[in-house]
Amino acid sequence: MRYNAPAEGHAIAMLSYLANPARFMRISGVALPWLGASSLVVLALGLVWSLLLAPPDYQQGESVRIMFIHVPAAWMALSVYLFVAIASAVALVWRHPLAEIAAQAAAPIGAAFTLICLATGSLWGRPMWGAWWVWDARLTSVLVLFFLYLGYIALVNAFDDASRGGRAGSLLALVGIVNLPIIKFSVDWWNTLHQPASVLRLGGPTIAVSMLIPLLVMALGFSLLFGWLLLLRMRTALNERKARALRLYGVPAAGGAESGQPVAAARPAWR
Amino acid sequence: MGNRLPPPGRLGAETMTGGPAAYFAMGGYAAFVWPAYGIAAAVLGGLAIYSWRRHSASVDALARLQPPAGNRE
Repeated sequence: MRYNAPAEGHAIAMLSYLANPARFMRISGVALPWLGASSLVVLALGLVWSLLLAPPDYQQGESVRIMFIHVPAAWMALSVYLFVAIASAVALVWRHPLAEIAAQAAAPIGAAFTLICLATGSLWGRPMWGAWWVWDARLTSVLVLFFLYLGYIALVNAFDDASRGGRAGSLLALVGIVNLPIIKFSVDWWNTLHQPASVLRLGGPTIAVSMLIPLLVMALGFSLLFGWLLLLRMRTALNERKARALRLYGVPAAGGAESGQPVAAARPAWR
Repeated sequence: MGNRLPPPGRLGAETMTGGPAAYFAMGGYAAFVWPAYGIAAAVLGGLAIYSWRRHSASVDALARLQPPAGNRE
């Protein structure tokens, strides 16, 4: 990279181009309806495929349909955390407010996917393993991921000064990244009741194509939904910050409709 | 978890052959399959509705604060 100064400069220029809040509002405003509509279409297609077209498993019967929710939710739980951690690193290093807003907007979405992964896994484990829950390495490390999300959200909102909360949260998100390889390789490193990887593994997937396709369609649907939710929540945070600045620094509004609203109502984003 | 190919004749929309009641019974796993889909729909739907409402509120609050001629991004 050191001998590639022009390209490096170009990449940073691109990043700062997209990181401009006004430009972000413009581009995300165009992307938002497309992401929302496409996620609805892909998720509807994925549901039909998962619940009607996919065959029952020869051992697990119809219970295998839980997989089409459980596995994509688990992928989202991990990749959204990676997103939060990278955005937190950018926020810590470059102090760019949009990176912090992105991390804080994404964390509740990741927590939601982790919750879905845990709940559907429990519903699948009861008929297949005979237990709602076991303390094996995979399940425990995903539970830790869920608590990392909750801890991040709580820490960000635990400070009166939003910038201090943001920095503390970013640090926690970075430290927590050590959990991601533990989750991914837990099924290889320890004897787990949870089965090892059957899609993202060396040597290719061991899952039947008739089940792999609806799995990937659901994963695409979840990703599009994540994109829609992320942009929506980032726009909300930017709107709220702008409104707070307007209230605090006294730009007169027409009609005085806001006069009944105390300054205290202008809370930091996502509190 | 579906590690092998399903036996021939079990592909496609064969799951509906027993009629709607048999379909919703999910081969005896109805109490596990439907709650799994229900929880996913409830959690994601709830987050989407909450995020959408909060977004609408933020747009409205900004519109009230800004003069009519202002930028209403």
